[in-house]
Amino acid sequence: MLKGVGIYIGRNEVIAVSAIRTSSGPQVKAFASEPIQIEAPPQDQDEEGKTNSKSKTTTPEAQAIRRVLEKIKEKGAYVTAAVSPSLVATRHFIMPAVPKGDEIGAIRHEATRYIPFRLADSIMDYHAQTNLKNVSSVTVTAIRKDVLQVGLEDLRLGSAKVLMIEPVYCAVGRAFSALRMLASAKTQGFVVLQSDGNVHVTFASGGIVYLSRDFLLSWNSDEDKSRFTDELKASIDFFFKLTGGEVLTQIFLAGAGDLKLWAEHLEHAFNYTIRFDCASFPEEKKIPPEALHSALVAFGLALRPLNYASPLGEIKLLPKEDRCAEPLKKMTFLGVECVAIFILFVLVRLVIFQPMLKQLENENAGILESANRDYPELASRSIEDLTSQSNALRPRLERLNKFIKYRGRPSSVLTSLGKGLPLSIALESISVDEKNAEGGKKINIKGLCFVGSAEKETNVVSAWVKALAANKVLSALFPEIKLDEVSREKKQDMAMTRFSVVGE
Amino acid sequence: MAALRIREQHKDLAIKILLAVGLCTAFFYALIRPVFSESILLRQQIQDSQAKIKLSKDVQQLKDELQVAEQPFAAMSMRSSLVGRISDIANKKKLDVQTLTPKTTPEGEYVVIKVEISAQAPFFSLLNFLKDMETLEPPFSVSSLSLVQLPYVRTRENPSGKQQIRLSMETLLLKQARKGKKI
Repeated sequence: MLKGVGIYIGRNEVIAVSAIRTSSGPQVKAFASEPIQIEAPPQDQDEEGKTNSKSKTTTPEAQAIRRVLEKIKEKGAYVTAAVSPSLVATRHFIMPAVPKGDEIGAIRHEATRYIPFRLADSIMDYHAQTNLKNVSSVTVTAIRKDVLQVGLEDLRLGSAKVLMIEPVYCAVGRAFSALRMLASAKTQGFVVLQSDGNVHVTFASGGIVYLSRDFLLSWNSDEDKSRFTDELKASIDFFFKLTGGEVLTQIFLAGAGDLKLWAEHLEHAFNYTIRFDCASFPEEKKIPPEALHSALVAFGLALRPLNYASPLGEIKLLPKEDRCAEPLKKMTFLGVECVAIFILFVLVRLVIFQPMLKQLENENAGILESANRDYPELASRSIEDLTSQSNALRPRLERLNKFIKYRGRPSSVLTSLGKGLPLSIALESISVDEKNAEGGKKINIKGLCFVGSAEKETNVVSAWVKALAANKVLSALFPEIKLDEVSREKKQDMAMTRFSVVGE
Repeated sequence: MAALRIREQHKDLAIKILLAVGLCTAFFYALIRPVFSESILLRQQIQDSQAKIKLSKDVQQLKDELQVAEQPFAAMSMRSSLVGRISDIANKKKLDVQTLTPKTTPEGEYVVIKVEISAQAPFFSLLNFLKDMETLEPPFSVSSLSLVQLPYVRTRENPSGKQQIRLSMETLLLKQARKGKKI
């Protein structure tokens, strides 16, 4: 259920109301008021020290705000607030209608003539209406920045989260409008009596506030009655002049004090030409009417977040950057933000990354599908398995290839040796052995040569060795064939040459 | 020094930005980051598939080559008949075989059978024997050969005399007979 909290910070008290919106209209959920207690001077130095340190963090107004929020069980609530109308200046003026884009600048410039403090040091808002004569009727409300800042800090120190600060007349107009007390009359008057003696008078016509002023009562009954009547009469006359002859027929009273008594007195004083009415709360039977009247401003403030419009315009005295976002709006924004980011990431995943993954999956499936036709067992085998099988097969093949490569043809070696053998040479022995593990061979030939002359025998042997080295079959197997040893020997009185040939 | 004022709008903006950053981080880790690891996994799978295909091709090629290379070689069970065949060839080529010693040594998937022959024969008998051995299946490799001329005795059958021959031959035997190979 929607709930709003309004806080009115007066000069001597703080009033808070929490209200809810029901089908039968707005209802007060809780209300409370707390006096603003100015603390007594410290007793001794220690107490002074403590008080000073405390005053740095909180103020009497802040303490009252905290207490009043605790009373209505709305500590830390989002609130709409108003400060005493004596701190706010409201002025009406007319000016030629200007295009919407230039309106703010023109009104701001015009307002400098009416607002009693520098606009550069103020926060200002306005409510303008353009009539048929191309003339804008403008109500400007301004508050000094330092005053606003103090009020804002008090509210924050009092645990409130401030949604908006608005002038009192907006809240009062909203409250009477929500209570359906404003008839279709063009003119309306609102008088708010405050417990500090301040009386706030607002007269409006057609939704434009023409007059918003304050005067003080002295709490002397007779003196106050004549003063009230005089001030009101002067205000009504001023309003009559400003509006060009519009007459107030009904004025609403709100605030502290005996309002019925005041209403009777004023109706009598104005010879019953003006009707004075107090707020009527048909739904609030359990709460005394006096209490409700005194809380009407805060009630009107509490109705703002419940989407009750003020007939006197929605004046905003809190700069945008100092406003707390409404919880519902904030949560809605954050929710939308969450959903938007989620959708963005889902889209990025689905549009960019998912097709990429799908493409890779298809690529892999395509590779495997074509490979499975050629190698059906591929899917069931791991890389390690295949590698180990390859590693097992390779040495076997290498072993067989090596065997075939270095097998050789010994018959061709012997044939080559025999073919060119001179008749003067007799071979005693031939041995072919393995030279190394790589399959290299070594040949050793021993023999005798007899010609009759050592020189000739040596020449015959050398020529034969040369012929052997030039032989294709032998040179392929034994790249270097050389005469290793040559010696002369006598055998049965015959001298001959013994030789040894090595090939490797 | 002016105190830094944090306005409500800034707080709201900070909350929105922090939430956005937090959500972006969370969704990145939940939705996007797994894609990278999944992509790496898929790429790895593709590489593995390609590697498996290459390895399968290699293995198949090796198997084919091995089948061809092993074709002429006999199985271990043929050892005794092989020695008999060598002896027969030697007798046929008139080699006077004094000793014929087979010796087997296991070597991986094969068994090396080394046959050492000591014989006496004329040169041409040896030559013919070697020629027959070279055409024999399974193939033999002559690892060493030694011929020493014996004292010269001319006979009618052997006018050039005999050689003392020491011959060492070896071949590989398959530990297991291949399918379809006749023993």
